[in-house]
Amino acid sequence: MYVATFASLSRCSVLAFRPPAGLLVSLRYAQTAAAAAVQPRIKKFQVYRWDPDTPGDKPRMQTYEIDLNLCGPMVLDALIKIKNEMDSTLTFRRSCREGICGSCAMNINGGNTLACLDKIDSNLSKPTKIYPLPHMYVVKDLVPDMSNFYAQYKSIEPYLKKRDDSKEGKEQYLQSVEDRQKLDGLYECILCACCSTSCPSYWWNADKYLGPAVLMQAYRWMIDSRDEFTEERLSKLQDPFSLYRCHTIMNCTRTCPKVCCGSCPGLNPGKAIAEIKKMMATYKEKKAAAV
Amino acid sequence: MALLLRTLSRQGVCLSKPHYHVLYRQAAPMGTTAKEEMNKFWAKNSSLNRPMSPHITIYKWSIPMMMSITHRGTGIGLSGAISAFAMAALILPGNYTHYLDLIHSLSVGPFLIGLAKFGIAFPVSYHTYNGIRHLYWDIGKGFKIPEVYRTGYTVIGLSVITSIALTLM
Repeated sequence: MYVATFASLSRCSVLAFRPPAGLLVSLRYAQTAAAAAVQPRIKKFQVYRWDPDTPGDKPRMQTYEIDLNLCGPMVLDALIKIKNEMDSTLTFRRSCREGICGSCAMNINGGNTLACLDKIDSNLSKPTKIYPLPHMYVVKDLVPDMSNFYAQYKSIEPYLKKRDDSKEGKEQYLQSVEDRQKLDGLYECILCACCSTSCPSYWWNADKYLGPAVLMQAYRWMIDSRDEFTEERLSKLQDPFSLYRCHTIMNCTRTCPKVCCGSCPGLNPGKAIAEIKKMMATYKEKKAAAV
Repeated sequence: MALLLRTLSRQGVCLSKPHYHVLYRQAAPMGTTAKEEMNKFWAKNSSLNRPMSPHITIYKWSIPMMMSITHRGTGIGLSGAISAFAMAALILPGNYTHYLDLIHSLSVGPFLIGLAKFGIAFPVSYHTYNGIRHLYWDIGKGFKIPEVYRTGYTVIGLSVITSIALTLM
């Protein structure tokens, strides 16, 4: 406990031994006075607003001003500050604040990312524009209706399927190191929907095209060596829309926010879809050859 | 009782349906299929008159996005031009040399002729080179974002050079 006190005192750059109380107070005062002399850095945030409970309300943009010196570094910090201090009616989804839950996915300055991972641009001359995920029905303000996205995920049966269920739960299903490596870059998806809602094909065909997020998860189960229903999973995509509305526009890979550090560039649904297309071209031949 | 109420509200149940009497005994909620969920989504959202969040008006344009739509545009343009040429060849009276003389007789300056030549050469070369880029993607290569940009700039560069070369010929 004494070590903790010592550590916290040294953080305040206060001497460890206890000088007269007056000296301590004047030292702290000097610190805070120095902090207050810094100029406020005012940043404008333009946020999409729409209230379903106000009859006849039209979607509009509302501008808020935040002093960046009194706000955390991420866009989510700004949104929370606005909600806490300025406008409590501002509505948005959020949970983990660390880029793992996917709740705060929204369109910031024209690109889809997670608000908790997107640093506020310190250029004060340009406002930060915040919109909900594109081409989605709006429940309120920045909250889109995600039910269709989740239903599409359900439709690809995202779970291990074996021909013989009798061994289920008895032992681990073993997998080689190489086979496990095939899942890297696929299993990390948090289903935030940034990629699917960045895809123009998904904008125009959200009812029938599954979108990059769901297709990448379909691929994740197709190439899992423990899963035995690869052909059925492939044949489910055999129609003009579910898979083949992808025209390699590549907005999906560009916008994926799962960037852990400088070396990992985010996930690649575009590549996963291309691999599915390759498998679609050859799996029937394999089946016919096996017969 | 709470379980019954929860189950009823989850299903939006109409108690007049005869088979729902089972709820009182087992209180086992019936799941929805993916298809049912999708249909419910569309029915609910169209009846609630919710607005659609903006998309094409707010999304930031990028080079790959522009190249993709240009590929589509040049494809439609080339396809239309070839069909129009074929129809013209079938329907219009007079033979090819007649129309060639007609074009020669028009007093358009060399600059406009050059512009027209570039206007035909650029879609052909861009669509061809980007088509090769698409084939590269079809074998599964070049999907990392830096590669997408690299191959993209290569296509643009080659298209411009080829179009100028064809125009000056």
